[in-house]
Amino acid sequence: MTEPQPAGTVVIVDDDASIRQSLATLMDAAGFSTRCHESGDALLECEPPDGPACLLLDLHMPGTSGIEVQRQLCMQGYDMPVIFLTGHAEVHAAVDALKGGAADFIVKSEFRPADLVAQIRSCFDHHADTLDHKRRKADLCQCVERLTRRELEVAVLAAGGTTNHVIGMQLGISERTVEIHRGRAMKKLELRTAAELARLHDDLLEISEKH
Amino acid sequence: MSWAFLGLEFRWVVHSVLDSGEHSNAVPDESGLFDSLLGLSDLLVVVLDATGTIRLFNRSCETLTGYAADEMIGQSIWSSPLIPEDEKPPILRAIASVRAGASDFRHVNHWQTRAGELRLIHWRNTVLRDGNGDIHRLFATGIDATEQERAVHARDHQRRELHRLLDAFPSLVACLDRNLRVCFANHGYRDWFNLEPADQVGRHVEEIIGARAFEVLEPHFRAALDGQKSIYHGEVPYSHGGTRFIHGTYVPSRDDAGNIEGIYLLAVDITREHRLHWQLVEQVRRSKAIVDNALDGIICIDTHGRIVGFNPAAEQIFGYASREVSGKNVAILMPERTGDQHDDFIRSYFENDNNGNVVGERREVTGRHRDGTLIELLLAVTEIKDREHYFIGFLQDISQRKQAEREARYHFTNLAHVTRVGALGEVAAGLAHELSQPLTAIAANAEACLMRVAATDSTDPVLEPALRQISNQSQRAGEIIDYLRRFLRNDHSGDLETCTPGELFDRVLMLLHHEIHVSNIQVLRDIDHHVQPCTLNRVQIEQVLFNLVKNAIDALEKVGSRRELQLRCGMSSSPDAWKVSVGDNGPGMQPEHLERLFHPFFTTKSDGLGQGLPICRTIVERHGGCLEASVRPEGGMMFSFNLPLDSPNHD
Repeated sequence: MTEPQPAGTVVIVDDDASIRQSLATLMDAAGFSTRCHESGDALLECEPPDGPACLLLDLHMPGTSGIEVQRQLCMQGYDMPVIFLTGHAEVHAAVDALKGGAADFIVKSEFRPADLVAQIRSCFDHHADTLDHKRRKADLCQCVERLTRRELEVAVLAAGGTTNHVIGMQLGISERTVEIHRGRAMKKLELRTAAELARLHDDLLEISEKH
Repeated sequence: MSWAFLGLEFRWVVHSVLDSGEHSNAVPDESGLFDSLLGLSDLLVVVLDATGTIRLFNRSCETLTGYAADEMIGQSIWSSPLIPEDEKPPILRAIASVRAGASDFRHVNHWQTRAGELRLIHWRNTVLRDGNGDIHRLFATGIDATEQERAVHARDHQRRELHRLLDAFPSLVACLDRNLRVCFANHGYRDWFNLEPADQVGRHVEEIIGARAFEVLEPHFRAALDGQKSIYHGEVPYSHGGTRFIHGTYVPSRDDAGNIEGIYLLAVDITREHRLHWQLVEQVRRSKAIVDNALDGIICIDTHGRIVGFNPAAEQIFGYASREVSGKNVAILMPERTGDQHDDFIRSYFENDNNGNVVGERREVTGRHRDGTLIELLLAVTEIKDREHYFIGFLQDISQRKQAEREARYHFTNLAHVTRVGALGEVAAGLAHELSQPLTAIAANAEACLMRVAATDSTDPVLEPALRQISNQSQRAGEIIDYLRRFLRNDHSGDLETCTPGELFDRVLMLLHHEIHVSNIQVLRDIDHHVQPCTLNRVQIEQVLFNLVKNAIDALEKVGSRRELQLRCGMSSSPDAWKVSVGDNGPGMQPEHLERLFHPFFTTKSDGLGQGLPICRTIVERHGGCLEASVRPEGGMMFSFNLPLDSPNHD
């Protein structure tokens, strides 16, 4: 039996050891790698796992509550989806959790393991996309570092769909000069087509504004 | 016979007497006539000569005195036994005055008869004189006035007696003339007005009693003067001695001819009696007011057990009017068994020298209302031993109080029960939370195992289904706990949800699955396929269904075999509504008791609250529906309610 590459890491936070154990076993069986913490504070002391991940967070725990943990993780830049588990169906807590960006809110007595596994799988996919986008954005940042200021200006405008002629008029340079800047920028950004450039428009705009 | 007539006749008499002894033949006939007259006359006739010698003593004199004329004639009147010694001097003085010139004189003196009796004689005398003017003869005619004298005396005596009698009256007695002047007043005037009775004679009555009193009494005086007896009973403001309450009688006084000559009045002072009377009346009235308005029933019986008093409160308690029970035996107010013994109770009470324990104690007894229902009463008996012997019973209807006591006890029990139920809700909520943890763990582990089994392509025919069961059953357990918790908790109970009857039936049957299964009850579900979902308070409607199904299960416990529970839901139109019914083939009940089912505290279960159905009805009514009970023609109970699809705002 060959171990497939884990789809992601499930981080389980629950003060009840039997819950931690059973969920870990279930996630393991589903082919996920797991990490367990017995409290929110213990979780906050650790680095987030590499790769796609999902947090199964008990709402009611001794010490920091689930909602507070979610809030602090958010502040620390954690981006993994959070699924709350709770013994009670509490509307207010559920509303707070979902406002805070929770992916789901599951009442333990209505717990269906297969559904949870499916839910976690979709969380992984979502997180993977997030991570991918983050990584690409980081790569783009590095490339942009190589661009001159004028080249970045032209690239942003060009990515927005503005023609060379109009860019020249806006920047007060000739159309020919625009063409040269654009060519260099494409080369530095390792792009070949205008469509590829257009896809980076938002990210380029964001980066250019930081400069 | 008048004196004038006698005077005319004297002429004859005088002649005869004068000529006696010197017989004359001139008038022999006249002499015989004279003798006859003297003999026949009732008049006493005596003739004396100048020396006082009796010359004539007629037949009447003989009859009166018992002395014969022969004995007396020739005797001196002064030496005769006729005139008592002490009366002689006045007569002699009278005669002496006659000698002085007068011819006629009268006097009154007694004659003593032979029998020694004194007779009173009124004499009229005349003298005959000779030529010298000297007295020749004294001619005396007399009338025996003894009887008349006696009558007058007796009358005076009677009158004095009468006055003494009248004076002795403690009343006012008077005689008034036609002008209302006092003719007689008794000593009452002294007693009442401090006036001397004798001084009142001749005074007008108004002067005596005063103008204000006269104003009151005058009509009665007038009535009496008009010939009618009149009576006045009331107050009179007398000027002397103040106001008195009198009973006055005014009657006309008449003379022998029947003419009204005045009035007699008799007034009795009954001021004190009147005051006592009114005090008594007041007292009786007060007592009656107390008895009539007493909150307690008051019944008075005599020694034969007959009702002699029955106040309004007693009427209220027993439903009888006072006049209906008056004179009847008090046993009619008691249950038959007690009533039959009551006469014996009274008898033994007297036989045991009044040492019974009935009087003076408060006891709880049972009475019987007119309609036959029994009444719980608190009874205190007291007795009145006066000229008559009575027993008085004071009764309080304590049926309501007893009922209240029972209800209070019952409430207390129920409260304890409700509290336990409430506590159970709390426990269940905690329990649900605690159980959800291990159940979650079980479910997760089972699912994990299933995944592993699937991954290993296992061909074990037992393992995978068993794991599937573990997974499913733990999920079911979780659902039950979750539902139980929500059922017992009140939070969010106002939330409306859209449900199908199938969901509702499922959930209720799931909660009661065990009972249904153990009691071997067959559940017949019948949901019309036209039924549309309804917006309702799911928890509340489930509670209604839960109660009805639970009741049906309990009722079916009493059925030996073929226990059937029928759950139905159909649609009724106008308005569009669910028509839900829960039926059983249990023992059912009497149709007349159906409505009592919905009264709070009515229950047939030893551990029941008697609250289920009333609450169910309230819930259904809040949903705009109506919960009813009926007895199924084929036996058993049928509870049905409707739920409008557009139900009003429930809370």
